[in-house]
Amino acid sequence: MSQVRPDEVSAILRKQLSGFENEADVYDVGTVLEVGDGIARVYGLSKVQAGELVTLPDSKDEDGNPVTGMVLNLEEDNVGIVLFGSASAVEEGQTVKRTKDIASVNVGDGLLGRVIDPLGNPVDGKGPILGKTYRLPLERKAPGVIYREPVAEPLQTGIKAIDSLIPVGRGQRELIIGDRQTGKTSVAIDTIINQKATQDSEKPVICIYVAVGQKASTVAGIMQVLEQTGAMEYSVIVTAPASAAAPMQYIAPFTGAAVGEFFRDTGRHALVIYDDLSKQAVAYRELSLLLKRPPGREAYPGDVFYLHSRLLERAAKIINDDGVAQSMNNIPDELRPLVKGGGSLTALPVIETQAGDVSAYIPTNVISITDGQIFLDTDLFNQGIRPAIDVGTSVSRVGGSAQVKSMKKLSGTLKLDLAQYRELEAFAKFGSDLDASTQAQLRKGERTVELLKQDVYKPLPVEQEIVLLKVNDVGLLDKLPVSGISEFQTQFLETVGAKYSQEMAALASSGVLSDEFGAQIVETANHVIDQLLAAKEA
Amino acid sequence: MLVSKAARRYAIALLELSKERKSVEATLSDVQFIESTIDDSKELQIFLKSPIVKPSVKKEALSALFKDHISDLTMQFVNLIASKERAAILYQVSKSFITKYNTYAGIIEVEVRSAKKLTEKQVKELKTVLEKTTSKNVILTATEHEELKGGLLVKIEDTVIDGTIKHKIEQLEERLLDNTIELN
Repeated sequence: MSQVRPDEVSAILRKQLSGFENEADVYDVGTVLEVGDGIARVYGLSKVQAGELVTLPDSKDEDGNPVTGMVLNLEEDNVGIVLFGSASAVEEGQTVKRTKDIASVNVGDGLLGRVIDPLGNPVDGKGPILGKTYRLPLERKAPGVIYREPVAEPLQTGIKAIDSLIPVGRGQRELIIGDRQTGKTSVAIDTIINQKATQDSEKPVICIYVAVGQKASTVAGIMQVLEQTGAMEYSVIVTAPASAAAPMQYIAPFTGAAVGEFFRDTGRHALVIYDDLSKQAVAYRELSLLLKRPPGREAYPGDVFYLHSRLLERAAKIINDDGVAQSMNNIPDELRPLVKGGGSLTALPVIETQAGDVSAYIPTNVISITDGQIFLDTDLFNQGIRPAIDVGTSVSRVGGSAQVKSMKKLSGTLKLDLAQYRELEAFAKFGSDLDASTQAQLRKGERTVELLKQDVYKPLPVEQEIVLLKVNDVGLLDKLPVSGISEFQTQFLETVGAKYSQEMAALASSGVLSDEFGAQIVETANHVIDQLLAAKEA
Repeated sequence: MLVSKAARRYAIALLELSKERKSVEATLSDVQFIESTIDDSKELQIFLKSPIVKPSVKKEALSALFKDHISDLTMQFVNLIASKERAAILYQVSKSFITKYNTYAGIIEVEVRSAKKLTEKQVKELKTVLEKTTSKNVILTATEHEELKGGLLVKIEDTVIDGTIKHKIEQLEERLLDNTIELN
């Protein structure tokens, strides 16, 4: 690092001091009446707004900084605030100061590659956030109808089963739901890693991973995976680990949304993963009960539906018209000159179910808000079908229109095959007693399921997915034993990649599999299968 | 301080009634007397709050205490509160009454903190300025706080006008430590 000259230091100091007025500062205060369980009741603060940040200058947390809080309850004679820091530092009678700042976060391009807490402070030890930042409110109204467009562009997850059967489009909200240990986070991380391919294209996807109530070690692990795969460069992690105070866990998804909105409104594409919203709901329940709001079903407060619906509504595909986009509602003035149309914010919320119970309160709420769900099943996971996607109960309500052409064509028959296979699966144990057509269907189904299996952190580019599905579609895999499919996949993709690199690149950009190239693919696949079978016999 | 809804309602009732009878000032001095009496005596506070003491005993005690010092209206009011088993909130009622009276009479309480004791002339000038800007009658309480180092802090209800050296230094520190550094 180069040395800073003393005259430079004094110049900077003088600049800092120059704007220092001699006038008296005017602010509003209140007094802490009672404090406990991360909640403080304050007398005074008569002009405070709901959602405003307040500081307690007399209190000092572990790091020596004053504790901050957010106003949640405005009552007749007192104000209920939630504390972001340790409540043990706050005492009765201390002064509470208004900041006149509705909870906001500093957002800018400098956030890429960083890990921040829900208040926007970096927590990765890499120093301050560099570059210009904009202060965006955590709670912002979702764009209205006229500023939106239907979902039409695909967001490739790189997972064969999802891209073919439950496609996700840019601007969509697709729920990832399942029991603990079924690979929900892996699906999300795979999707982030797969966006690496988009970074060189015209429409790169920026990823935001919001960890709510996760183990800090898990978050560190995820960060490591993203760094190793080179995905951290275009990602932001917002973390409120299990040790963070409930208010932090409650606002973390809103911080993620605010970061995503910055990219969405500046005409770029962003993907935000809320991992997971059930923990956020639990944190919000804790706050609500402590604030003595009336409990409802499962003790969640009445507005827990609104909590998730207003968050997920902010995912949107913005109209591709700069003029209209600039008049969008609720844009902070600071950001307005930068606003461009055509951006999108895709949301992948995660919900953890208990023993597969999707009819619990929070899961049903979020299912009804989102545009479809990816359901992960414990039984499938234990059978070795990974990703453990239950294609029967998973749906995507809008993604179909965002699928690339060839993929759409192939997925139609794929869906049918799998549905028929599931129906007949129970009879599989009768084996040779079945008629030939049933046996053929079972045979094909088994191979399709095997083909849709995929290792974790190994997303496939869309053109590779298409050619694999094409081979399955024409029924070539039936010749192979089920155990040989993964080997075939590796060899086949290698051969195709080497032989037809130009055609593959064209397929990737156009999404159309020409008849000619299709025939070449089938021929190559035949060749690879013959080789494999010959090698096995020998 | 936090005043219960009941206390506020009793206070409003008393103020309205004394307005009707045109004895607001007299009632105010009575209530101030009650307030300071309770404030000064820890025993009386405990006595009034205690659930063990019978309401009738509280009533008798209160009447014995205040009978010769306050007007009939206020005495009747104290008796009413005691017979409604609300003696415990008497202190809150009197506090609340004073606040209500202040709004009624256009009085605001202003707290002034300074590093050194203000001269009488300074207090007077400050009061005139404050009365002019707020267009209300100002009751000024001035206190000394050495740690302020210099300057004045004026607190009008919830709003603080802070011109102390201590606050200035804190602001400066904050600005210099501000972690977002913009290098051009």
